[in-house]
Amino acid sequence: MRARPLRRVFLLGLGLFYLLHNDLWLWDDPQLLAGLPVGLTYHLAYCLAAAALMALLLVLDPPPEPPEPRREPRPGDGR
Amino acid sequence: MTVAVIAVYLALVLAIGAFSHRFLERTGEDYFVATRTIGPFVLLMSLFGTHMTAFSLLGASGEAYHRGIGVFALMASSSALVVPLVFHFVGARLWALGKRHGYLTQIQFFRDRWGSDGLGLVLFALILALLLPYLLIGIKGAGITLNQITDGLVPEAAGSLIICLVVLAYVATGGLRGTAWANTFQTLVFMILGALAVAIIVGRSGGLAAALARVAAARPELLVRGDAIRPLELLSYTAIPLSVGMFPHIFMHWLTARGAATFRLPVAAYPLCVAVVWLPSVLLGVIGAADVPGLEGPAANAVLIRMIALHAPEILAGLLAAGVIAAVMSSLDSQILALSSLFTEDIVRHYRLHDRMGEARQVRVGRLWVAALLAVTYLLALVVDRSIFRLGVWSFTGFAGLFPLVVAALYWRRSTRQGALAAVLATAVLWLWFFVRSWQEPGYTVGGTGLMPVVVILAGSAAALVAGSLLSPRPATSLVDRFFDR
Repeated sequence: MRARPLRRVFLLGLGLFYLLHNDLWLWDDPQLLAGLPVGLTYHLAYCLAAAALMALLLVLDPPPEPPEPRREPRPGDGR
Repeated sequence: MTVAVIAVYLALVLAIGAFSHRFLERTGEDYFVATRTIGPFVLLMSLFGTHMTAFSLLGASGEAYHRGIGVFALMASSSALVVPLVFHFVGARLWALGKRHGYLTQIQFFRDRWGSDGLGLVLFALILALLLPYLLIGIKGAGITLNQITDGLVPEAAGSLIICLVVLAYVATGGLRGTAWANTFQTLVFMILGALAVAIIVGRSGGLAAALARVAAARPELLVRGDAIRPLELLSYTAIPLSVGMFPHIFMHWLTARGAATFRLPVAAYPLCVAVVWLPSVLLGVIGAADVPGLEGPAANAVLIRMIALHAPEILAGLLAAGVIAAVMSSLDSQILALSSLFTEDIVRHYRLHDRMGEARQVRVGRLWVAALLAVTYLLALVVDRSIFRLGVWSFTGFAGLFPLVVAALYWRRSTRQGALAAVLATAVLWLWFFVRSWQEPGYTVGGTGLMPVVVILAGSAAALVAGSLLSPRPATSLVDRFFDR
């Protein structure tokens, strides 16, 4: 990741997001939300939020293209 | 009619394999990594299709049948976070190193990274052992699907055999390009048909509200996590998707990428794909508990197919079953190809056995090796009667235990071959020990706390790696500099 402050903020956000996976407060809640049991709706929303987080990760830290390959011979090559 | 639909589907997949054969160049790099030319969409579909298997459809619905909606949190939403991060921080970097050094297999990378043939051999044996239960759930899942959807007309053993032969045929003809294309087709099939299955089944049984009301009346505990899942279990399950970093078949697909930017789509879209596949599986498993009661233990592996057979008309049932078979085959093919490349590249070529063989004999030996492994797994599938979900979790647990290895290889210059070897051995010993415990006591968790063994194995492996590295001499700079930019 290129900018250090942004990296720290992102990593902190990632840690918090990981903790949010453990939704203890919905453990025994039988209510329905959006037509599904609330514990299921929450984790479905978690998947959508994870997708948004990954999109942000790609903006902050795009995968770098490596330099042209300087391929080295391996045992067995050219036999 | 159902059988005819499935037969047409299998013929289609074979045709894709045969068609891709026309593009096959006669080189190992083309056969095993499609000359690193795969674009973002095919990479996403082949990675996702390879990762999702009988585990995600039959296993997830079977587990949800017994344990309820919490199964989605255990594996789906945790994978939605962990897997794309592994693709980004591990996969893209491995792809760059693979391109730079011309790697075709995972073992080549680890052997080169630490300059140790011994490590390569030990890792080869362990990966093979861990992959067997993973292959087993695919073969078993295929048999269950064909057996249930044909109302027993096709015996489980015959169903498993048919799918093994079809997969072997298109992998042998099309190599990785054929596998990637077939995977893309099959992933689209099982994603679309999975969503369609839940819509049709729920629609025909009175709507979602009515279906959930039936569950609330018959098995209300399935609509919450309650006592079926413990908090520590949910927390420790998040370590299991780390396994994706060490799957040889996923590694092989990473190497096929056209460029680093090719990884962007798989990283961003993976969480959405997980939700699309797992939501129908878990929902149908939970609703199945009300609609098809009385499935004990591993019999619940078949609940998804029983629901399709119960609620969908014949042609549609065939199509939906084809979707399940698609998920099974799209993993089996890559696993078979990975096993073939590991053997051909890391044993036959690396130890120069090919000097003593002609080209035709090498190909024959490679195919015999894969056929022998499949035969062993097939025989095991006939006698092992366990939950697909649990078998899958055991395979993933072992691969997750090896995760510190790939992290150290990519990010820790000071790591040494002694440390790497210690981590592999620690994983093997701990995995075996916990596996035996769990076999004797299904549902085993560490000390009965809910803590999954994966956490202990991961910690043991990481500790062995760090201790082994720090207690051994620093690796040669010339070796390390090949893998790290100064």
